[in-house]
Amino acid sequence: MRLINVVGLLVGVYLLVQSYRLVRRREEDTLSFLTWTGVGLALVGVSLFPNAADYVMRALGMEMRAYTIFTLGILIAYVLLFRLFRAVIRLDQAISTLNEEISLLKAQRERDRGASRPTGAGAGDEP
Amino acid sequence: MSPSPGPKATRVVALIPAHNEEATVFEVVRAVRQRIPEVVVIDDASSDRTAQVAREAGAVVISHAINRGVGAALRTGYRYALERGFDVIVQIDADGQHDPRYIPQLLEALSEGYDLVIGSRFLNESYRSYSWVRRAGIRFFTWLGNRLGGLRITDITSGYRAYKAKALQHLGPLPDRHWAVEQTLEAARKGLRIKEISVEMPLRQKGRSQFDLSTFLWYPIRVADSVLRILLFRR
Repeated sequence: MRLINVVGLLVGVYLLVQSYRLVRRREEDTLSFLTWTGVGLALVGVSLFPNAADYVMRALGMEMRAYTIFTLGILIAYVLLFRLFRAVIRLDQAISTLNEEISLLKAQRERDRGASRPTGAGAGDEP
Repeated sequence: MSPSPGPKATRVVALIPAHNEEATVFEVVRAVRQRIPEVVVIDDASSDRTAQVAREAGAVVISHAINRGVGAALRTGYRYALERGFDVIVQIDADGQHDPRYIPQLLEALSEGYDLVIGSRFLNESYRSYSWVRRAGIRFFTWLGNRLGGLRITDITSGYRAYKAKALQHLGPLPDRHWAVEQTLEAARKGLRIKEISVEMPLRQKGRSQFDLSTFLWYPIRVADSVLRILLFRR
C-alpha cells in the first residue's frame, strides 16, 4: 500500500468517525451525515482497492485514474460550494429579518413602557 | 343618532434612516416635525449618539442591533408605517442634504394622484456640486432605469421620496443596500404612477459622508444585481 493510499484511508476513516460522532451529539443533520459518510466510504474504498477507480474511470470515458479522481472531486466540490453559498445567503437574510423584528419589538416595548408610566405630577420622575 | 363620521384624515409619517448621524439628525428631525408630527428615525446600529439625539429631538427611534444598510433600515420603517396604518410615507435622509421645506410639494404631488414622488437634484443646478464620477453614475443608472422601466425621470438614486402606503404594499422587500434603483424600476414595471419634483440637494455640510471607495466599487455590481432581479424575477 502506497503512502497516498494510507493518507486517503485515514482521511476517509476520520470523516466517517467524525460524522458519526456529530450525529450522535445531534450537531449534524441526516443529509450531511449521509453526504460525509458517502465521501468517507468512497475514500476508504479507493484507498483499500485502488483498482476500483479504474472501473469508474472507464465508465466515465477517462484515460487516467488521477484525472478521474480530480474531476469527481471538483464536481463534488462544486455541489458543496453551491450548498454552502445557499446556506450563507439564507443565513444573511435570516439575520436581516431578525434584526428588523428585534428593532420593532424593542421600539414597541419602549412605547408600551412610556404608555404605562403614571401621568400627573410625578410623571417622568425617576425614583 | 350619532353624527356620521367625516372624511378620514390622511395620516402621514416621516421615515429617516440614519447611521452615525449625530451631527445632523437633531436639526433634521426638528425641521421635519414642523411639517409632519410623526417622525421615525431608524437607527442602523450607529456607534455614536444618533439614537439618543433623535429621541431628544422628538422622534420615535427604532434601533437596529446590526448595521445592515439603508435598504434594511427603510424596510423596517415601511413595516412600522404599514402596521400602524399610515396612509402616506415621506422618506428623508438624516445627513441634512434633503431640505424638509420641500415636504409640502412632495405631498401635493401625491394628492394629484401619483403613487411615488421623487425629489430630483437634476431638475435644478444643485447636482453641479457633486463629483463628476457620482454625477456620471447617477446619470447612467437613471438612463438604465428609464430604458428598462419606460420612465422619464432624472434622478433614480434620490432617497428623498414620498409614497402612498397602498402603493408601497405592491412592492417587494428592498435589498439591504442600494435599494433606490430596484424600488423605482419595480414601481414602474408594476404600473405605479411616478413623478419628480425639483429639490435642491447641496453636498452635506456637517458630519462624515457615508460614501467611500468600497461604496463606489460595489455600487455598479449591486445595481446590476438589482436590475437583473427585477427583470428576471419580479413581474
